Amino acid sequence: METVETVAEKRNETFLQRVRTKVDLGDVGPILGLIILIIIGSFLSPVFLTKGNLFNILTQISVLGLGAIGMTYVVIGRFFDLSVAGMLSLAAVLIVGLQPYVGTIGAIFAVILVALAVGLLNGTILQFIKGDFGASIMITFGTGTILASLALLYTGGFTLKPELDPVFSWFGNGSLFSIPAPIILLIFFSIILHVVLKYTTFGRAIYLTGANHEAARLSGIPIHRIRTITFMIVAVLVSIGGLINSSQTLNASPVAGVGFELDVIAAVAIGGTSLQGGAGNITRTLIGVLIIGVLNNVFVLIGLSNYDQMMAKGLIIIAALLLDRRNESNLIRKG
Amino acid sequence: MSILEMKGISKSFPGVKALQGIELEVRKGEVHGLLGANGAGKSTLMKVLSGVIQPDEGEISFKNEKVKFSSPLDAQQKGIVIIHQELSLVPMLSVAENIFLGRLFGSKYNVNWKEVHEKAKYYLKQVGTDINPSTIVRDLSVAQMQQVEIAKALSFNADLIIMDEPSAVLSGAELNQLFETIETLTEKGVTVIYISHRLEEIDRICDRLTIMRDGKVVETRIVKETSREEIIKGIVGRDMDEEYPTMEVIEHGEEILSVQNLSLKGKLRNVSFQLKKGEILGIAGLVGAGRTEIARCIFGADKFDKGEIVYKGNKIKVSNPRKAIELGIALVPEDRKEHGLITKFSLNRNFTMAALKKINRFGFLHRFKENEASKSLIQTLKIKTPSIHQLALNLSGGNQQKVVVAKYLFSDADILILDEPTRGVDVGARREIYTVIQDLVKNGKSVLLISSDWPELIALSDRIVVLHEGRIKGELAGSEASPEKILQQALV
Repeated sequence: METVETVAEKRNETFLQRVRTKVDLGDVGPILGLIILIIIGSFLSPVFLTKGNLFNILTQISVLGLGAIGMTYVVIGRFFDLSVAGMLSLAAVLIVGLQPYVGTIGAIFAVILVALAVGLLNGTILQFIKGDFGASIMITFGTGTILASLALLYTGGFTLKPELDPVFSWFGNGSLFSIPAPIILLIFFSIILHVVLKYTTFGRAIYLTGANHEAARLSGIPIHRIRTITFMIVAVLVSIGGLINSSQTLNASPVAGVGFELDVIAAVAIGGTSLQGGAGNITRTLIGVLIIGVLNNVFVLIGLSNYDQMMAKGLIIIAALLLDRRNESNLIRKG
Repeated sequence: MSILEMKGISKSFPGVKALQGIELEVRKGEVHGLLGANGAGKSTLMKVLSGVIQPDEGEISFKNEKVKFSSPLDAQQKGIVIIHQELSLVPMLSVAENIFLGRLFGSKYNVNWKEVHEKAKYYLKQVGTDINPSTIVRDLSVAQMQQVEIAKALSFNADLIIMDEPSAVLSGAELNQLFETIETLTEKGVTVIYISHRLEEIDRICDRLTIMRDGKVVETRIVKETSREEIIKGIVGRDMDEEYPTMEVIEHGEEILSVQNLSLKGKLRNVSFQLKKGEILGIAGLVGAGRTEIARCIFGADKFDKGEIVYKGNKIKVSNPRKAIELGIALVPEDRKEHGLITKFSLNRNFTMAALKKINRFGFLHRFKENEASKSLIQTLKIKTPSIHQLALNLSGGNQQKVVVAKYLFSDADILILDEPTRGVDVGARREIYTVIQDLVKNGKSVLLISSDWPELIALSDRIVVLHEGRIKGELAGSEASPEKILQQALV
């Protein structure tokens, strides 16, 4: 009996070839980029590598990180969710607005319910119109715009002042084991999402869906249900981000989420999760988020203006996508 | 007087001799029918003639001049235009814009629309239609689109127009319209090569016909002097050879599937048949007869309008493929690379994708079980691969097909619907797929086999139902079936 392993051994692969198939540039590129950024940062400023500054970076990226790890699920399933910006704004004001009536914890639950409903709505509309990738961009753009306007309508355009009870304050400014709460939350949810994606059948189903919608459907994968659940997950994570945001800034802005969706997608793409669907993981996205965080920090340290920062971010997104394309064509060439 | 002469045209693709020493002579002003089974070489020959591909050997003379076509544009400029079955019009543009696509004229910066429309109108009139040139193509009927295509061909001053199965997309009244257009063309001295599977059309409009088989021309004859039987014999021709295994006789069990009056608007009408345990039921018919539609309806991939499906004695409602797979019905689709497999994923992921439930332990993937199952599937089906982690795209066509079958073995399917399982698969791998099919029924599975390769269908099937335009035209026992008999039923 010829086993599968012996056949594998017979293949005359050189060491280099094996390394090349094992390690693809999509994994190494972003990590390398991050390391270079950190080295540059430490040269530019003596405070860069201090614990305070590093916590500072991590705290700043936690809201983005929560959105990005959720978006990773959506993107692996080969869809997009642009409604995260509106969701963030609405969650930020709704939590503060509901505080007086149902208390902080009640408000958090209410907002999570709203988020689940938003995800369900996005998924259901797409199922109804049999929408694909392109439709998901437009539909979630639409729902996101409605959410953003609801946030503004709810506050009349003003920012709201929260009641600073201990629970509310903890999310933005509290800590656990002397690690700031936003970082704890990001790590906690990242681990859960990573495990679910990598080790569960649901995670496998997301990959299968994203790799080829029709093949997945014909194999009995409930692609509509999978998509709806990923939309619900990202909405919930973003609403927790909204809570952190309101708690950090001590006021609830109805425009807290403006531009958020693009930052989130940028983080996912910079990390190397393929926008073609069917590939990617949480670790990659976290690296993407870290790159954006460190970059912003370095920009501030070297005194770049906001406008310069935008320019640099744009260039990095394009570079990340070029890298993504190169990987895709590598895969095809290997075949 | 002949307008076109092809002499000794040969063309090979890696592993296939697509055309061998083709001799074809077409006379000016005639409608010349071109017939042959799928894969006989008609399309390749027409590609050579329209400049899409270049022949390895042979010469073409057109209008008494030796010609070589370097590209479709070159052929067009010399007066040969091909009209494909899938029309090549741009739906969002107007009729006039389509006719002069890429060739709009006027001054340097402006299109002279008035003249463009006038000229378009002129060519449309030549075709015998009064479609308004400013109509958006999307709003036309298929027959009208064809007329626009023909008008476009005329605008190239075409002397020879090749129509590749133009009738496949037309219904009765539209067909008459097409024939009238063709008559108008021939009156003007334009020559037409007409490719079709429908013999009654050949009878009606062609003057002469050429039959192709296995990349060769069998004969060219005058339509009026040729009987249908002779044509069918010419198309089918070959004897059944040892390409096919002798099937072991397998005792059939009770009825497992009964399809009753399945109807789908414009595609299927009152299709009924039964399938027994351990049986291979062949579904024959020409392209477009509704074979794939039947498969997709039973599998829940498409919805149907009317009819019932009884499975293992119970009436079932398959609303989606998921339901079908759970019940034990599987579809190995025609397009295995797009619909059957995820080519950029490893084999083990492909094997288990239709039955994630079986590798699910409290929501988590049971990777050990997945790997063991994958290894055993590779052995059962003798899939040639270095490892279960190999990407599916690195496998040969035959082995990829086995992976799709393996996927449904893992999902414990009782009925496998195989849609063109050997298309694009080389001869050696074909034999292996036949063995796989045989093993399936030996193990008590039932198979619905759809194939355009009739000798294959006959060799494998216990019974064959023949479809024609969405209806079952007849049923043949595998032992008494012959390509001629199938063709007779499939054509009428």
